[in-house]
Amino acid sequence: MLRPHAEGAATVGAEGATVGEVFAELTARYPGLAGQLTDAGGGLHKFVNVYRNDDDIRYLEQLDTKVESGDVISILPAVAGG
Amino acid sequence: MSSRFAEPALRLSERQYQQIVAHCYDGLPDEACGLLGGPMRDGAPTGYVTRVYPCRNADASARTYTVDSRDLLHAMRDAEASGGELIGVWHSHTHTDAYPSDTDVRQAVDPAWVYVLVSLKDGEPVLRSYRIREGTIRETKVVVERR
Repeated sequence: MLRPHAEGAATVGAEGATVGEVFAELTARYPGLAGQLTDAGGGLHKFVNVYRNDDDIRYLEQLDTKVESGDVISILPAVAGG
Repeated sequence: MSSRFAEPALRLSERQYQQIVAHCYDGLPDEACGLLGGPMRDGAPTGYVTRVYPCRNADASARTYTVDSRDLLHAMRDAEASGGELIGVWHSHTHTDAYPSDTDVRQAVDPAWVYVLVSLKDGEPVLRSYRIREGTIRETKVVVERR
């Protein structure tokens, strides 16, 4: 769903000690992702859900959530309507 | 020959159709929602549905829906593990027509997706399918097939 902003890639590798650092690397590589992942205040965008493996990072430490080698970060836009 | 329908046609099995409609009735009085999985060709859904994923409506509302994000995660993983992708979403309208609302159009997340609406406003359910691209709604055919 966000692939058009990442040159069509479904899965990309990135490094960082936290989810926020991983996002910084991704947005440096794919500038179109910038407004999709974080809001104007630098927090997690409210229409995006981010999981570290099976855990929603909103209930961990948000963008400060630690990541380790091999963790899978899933970025899911909100699927919603009326 | 030109057609009023957009491509691709949505192709559901009878059982998938029944699963979708049953989940919509189960959700009453709230809106119900779920996801569709299927194969892609050249980056676009073929319209053939291989999996339906009934999901929780995180809004628990009769007026809006948000697919529970954990259900979305699991559906995405399953669709990809089976060689396809998520290709669309369905939700019910409990008291209005099977046509995308302004909110549905504004929040449409993926121009490649198929958006399925199920209206429960009358005695018989009405299921219709749409593409929503750059704010423009176009209906696609729905084929319910025995397989």
